[in-house]
Amino acid sequence: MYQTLLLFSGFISPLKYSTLVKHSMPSKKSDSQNASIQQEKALEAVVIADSFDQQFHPMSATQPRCLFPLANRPLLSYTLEFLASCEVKHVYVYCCHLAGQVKDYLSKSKWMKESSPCKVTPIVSADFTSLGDVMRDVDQKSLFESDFLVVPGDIVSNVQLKIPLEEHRIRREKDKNVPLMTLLMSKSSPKHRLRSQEDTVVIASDSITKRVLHYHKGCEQKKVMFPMSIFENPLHKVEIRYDLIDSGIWICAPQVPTLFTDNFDYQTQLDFVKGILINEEFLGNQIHMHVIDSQYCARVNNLHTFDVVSKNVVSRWTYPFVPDFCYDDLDSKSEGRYTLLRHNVYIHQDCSLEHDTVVRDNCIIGPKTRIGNRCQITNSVIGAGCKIADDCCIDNCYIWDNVEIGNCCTLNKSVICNNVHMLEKVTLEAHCALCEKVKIGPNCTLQRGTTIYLQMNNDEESIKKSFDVGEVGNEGQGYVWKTEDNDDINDLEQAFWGMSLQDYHNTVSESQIEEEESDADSDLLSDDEDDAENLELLTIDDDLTIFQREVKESLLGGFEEKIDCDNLILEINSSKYAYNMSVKDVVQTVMRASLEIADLRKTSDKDFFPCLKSILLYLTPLLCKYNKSSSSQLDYLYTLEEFASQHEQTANVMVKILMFLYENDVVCEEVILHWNSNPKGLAGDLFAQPIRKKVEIFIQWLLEAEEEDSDE
Amino acid sequence: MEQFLLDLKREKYNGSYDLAYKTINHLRKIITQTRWANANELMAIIREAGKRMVSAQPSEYVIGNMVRRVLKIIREEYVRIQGESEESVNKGSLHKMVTSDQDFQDFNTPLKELKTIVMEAVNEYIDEMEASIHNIAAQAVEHIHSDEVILTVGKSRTVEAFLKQAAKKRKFHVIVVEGAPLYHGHELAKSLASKKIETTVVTDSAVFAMMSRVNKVIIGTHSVLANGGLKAVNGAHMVALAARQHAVPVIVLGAMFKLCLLHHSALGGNEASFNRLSSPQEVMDHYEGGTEILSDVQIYCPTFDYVPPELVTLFISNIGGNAPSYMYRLLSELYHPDDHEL
Repeated sequence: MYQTLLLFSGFISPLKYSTLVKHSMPSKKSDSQNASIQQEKALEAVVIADSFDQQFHPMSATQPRCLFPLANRPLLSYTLEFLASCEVKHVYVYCCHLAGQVKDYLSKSKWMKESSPCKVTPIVSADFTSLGDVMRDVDQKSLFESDFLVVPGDIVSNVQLKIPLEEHRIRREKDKNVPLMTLLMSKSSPKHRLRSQEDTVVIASDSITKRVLHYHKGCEQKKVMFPMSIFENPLHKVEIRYDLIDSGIWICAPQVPTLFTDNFDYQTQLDFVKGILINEEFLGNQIHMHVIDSQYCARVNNLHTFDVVSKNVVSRWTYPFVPDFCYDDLDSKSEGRYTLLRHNVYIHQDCSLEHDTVVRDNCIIGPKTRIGNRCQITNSVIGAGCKIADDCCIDNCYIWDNVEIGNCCTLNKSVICNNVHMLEKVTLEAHCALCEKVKIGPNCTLQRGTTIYLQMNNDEESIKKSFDVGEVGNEGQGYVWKTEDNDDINDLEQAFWGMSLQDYHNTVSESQIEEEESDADSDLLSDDEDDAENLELLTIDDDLTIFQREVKESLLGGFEEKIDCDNLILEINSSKYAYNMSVKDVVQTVMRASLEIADLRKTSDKDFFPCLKSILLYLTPLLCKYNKSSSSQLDYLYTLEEFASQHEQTANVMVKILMFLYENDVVCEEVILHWNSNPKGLAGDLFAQPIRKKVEIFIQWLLEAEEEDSDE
Repeated sequence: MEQFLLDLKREKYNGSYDLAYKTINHLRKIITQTRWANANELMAIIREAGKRMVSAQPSEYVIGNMVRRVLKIIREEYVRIQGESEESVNKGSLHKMVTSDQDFQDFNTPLKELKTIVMEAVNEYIDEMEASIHNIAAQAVEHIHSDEVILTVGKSRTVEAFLKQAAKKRKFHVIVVEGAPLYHGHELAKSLASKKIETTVVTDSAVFAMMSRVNKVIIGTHSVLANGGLKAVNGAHMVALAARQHAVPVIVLGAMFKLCLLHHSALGGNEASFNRLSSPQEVMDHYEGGTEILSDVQIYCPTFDYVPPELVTLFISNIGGNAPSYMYRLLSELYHPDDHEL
């Protein structure tokens, strides 16, 4: 099977190229004019209010992800608000993990009231373990007769879906059953903060019809395989894009749930997309995509994106979904609202800041929160009902509701969940996370990347264990979170916080340098862990070694079959050009190869020189071919010396070899003398003196012979 | 009602005239469709609805203006039916307040004909609003003379109509400031050019350089504050200052419904809530703006400018030209003092 390989060396600029089309697309005359005007059906949507993964564990153990407060509003409300703004009339919210809480929230929110702009129906079941299960349930209930939306419950977006919906509708009108769904992609540059490693997608699509031809997710491999067939079709104008993030929003045709039922092994979105693409030919379904332009769309699927999206909300990228717009509760007059101050500081009307407390740059302070004297707060979100005492320093933190913080605490880039109690003088280093109801302190410091939890799924057992006082302080209550199979704090931090690109770049750049050195044509991938092993394999496979191997093989073959030396020269020259080798490389390779062959063919140690002699004799025309310059001759000698330093028999017969080369005019007298006076090897290091000693006699003889010549 | 509030929140209206029109239409619906016994009850209902509408979109002062206007109409009509002269309600002076022995109206008497009369008055007011843009444009010939150079900022429907009206009789040159990052100026320039008006588009930074050639600055405004200051498109302040430097008169066009009770000083220097900061998307695409390098860069996209009253030469509304210092007087005619606080 032919396959095209595309190599990704780290994060290069967005890869976009198109193969040229042989024919232009046949222009289709739109026959939609006589199409009867269909009555517009109310748009409906499925919200998957569960991620079916453990990204936020243990934070998500007591609170479902979709209720995490992002800029002091539950994530789910952003999603619903987004759908309402897209004029979705009916939303089905599927919840599984801690479904009761989601249902409670919904029943209290404006969404379940008469005045709600869209109808929201929660569907609860503990049986849903994947997206596939949800879709199968949708099919079973046959909820939809027309196109609908599938949206994850952690979307923050201000996208208007009018255009993609219209595009989808037109495609479906043209061809009833073929276009199955439209994936929404948001654009992002390769170093975009919203990108996280696991979400990287590479997509091959037709740039005219926007049809998805190939979908690849993840970047643990630096190489992406594309089926050749997509390039072979002359109708495709293939575009390969790396600058996209899959938003997780689908516009689906009503038969999508049926397909999930038919293929009960489809679990995730990836399974489905891949399945459809692979079976495209005999099922005839197609997937299209729409790239969101100049609007905001992001998913919160790990702590890294939680951080980035929060910051984006604060800096108003999500306008009009920003904290100072009270779009949430229309009727709650008593609630009050946020006032926007300069530098994106949002202060709730109902909070109190004491004397000398400074709130700078990109902060949100929630309702009923009291902050003491002389605190410094920057780039942080503080929830409702928090009590922060005096002299605290809070930077880049996300503090949820009802948190109490004692005097003189220092918090850096951490997440503190609901009802956490921090006593005096607690210091949190970067990337800490305190889960619900944890108590910390007094006088303790949490190392970078520490996660403390107290409750796990509300089961009683965990509470019986005693607390590690050293970690959480004398009065602390909580356990340090560790995954079972991996105690490395760094890995844990990454798994939990999600690897930001910055970190990723650092790790990649190291392995990349090594890779660059040993050319990139390898079939193997370097991974941080087995670098050493890979490096070995990589050197074998680089151009020089391949060239060496080839030369050796042709010399051996030539010698055995007594092929004319001119043909051998021709052969070596062609490989020389094929691998782009310098003359120096060729000279060294030839010499080395002949010595290796001799070593290979000898029957005993004593047999080595006769064997070598016969080879050299045979190869003399070839050796003479490359000895035109004195530097080439010098290379012969240095190669010989290098080989001899590793090979005892060669060293023993060094004089004889030199004599032979001299007699056959492969190397001339001056070169030998020059070599002798420059005891530096090829690589620049001194070679073993014994070899020089062994050739002393020969040099002596040479010098004498020269003197004799001059005497005459 | 809910749908209307939602539309307000999502900014589903096309300019302040459209917003005013929609608001008063909605209020008219409330008057006809809700049950009320007397003027007092009706006013309470309107006030309640008004509060919700204002809080749905607090940066649009027009909504509050419309609510107050309707309340004022109800008061006037009630008093008229009671057989008193309009004067006594309207022109309440300190002297009268102190000396008059008559009780204040309690608006509690149920009146049969109130509904129809109020509806009539409201409809009249709507007609007046509809005509406002033409009334303003009709004054164009008085202000624009032949071969003048006019400078304007961004896109305002009123200014557009004004210039087009003038172009029917006069030949003049318009310089349009493009108004980054939304570039509404481009749209205006296109529209003017299609009417064969000589038009030049300049960048925002070229304003000062161009000002020496300009005879008049004519701009539209989002709203007019009680002190005669403007809440206008961003860049307007800069243009007004440049005009002051070159002693060029600044003429502001705006219908009466844009006149609001807010004093700029009442904001207490809180510029951010006065202004509307929209998504930085317009300034820099998120494709670039979201990268790691730019994570510490703050990008703002303010929509409005405050122009102090001393920079405005003349305010032209549908009832004629006035100086900004006269605004307080107009306000007292438009709205009843009891309605200042909704």
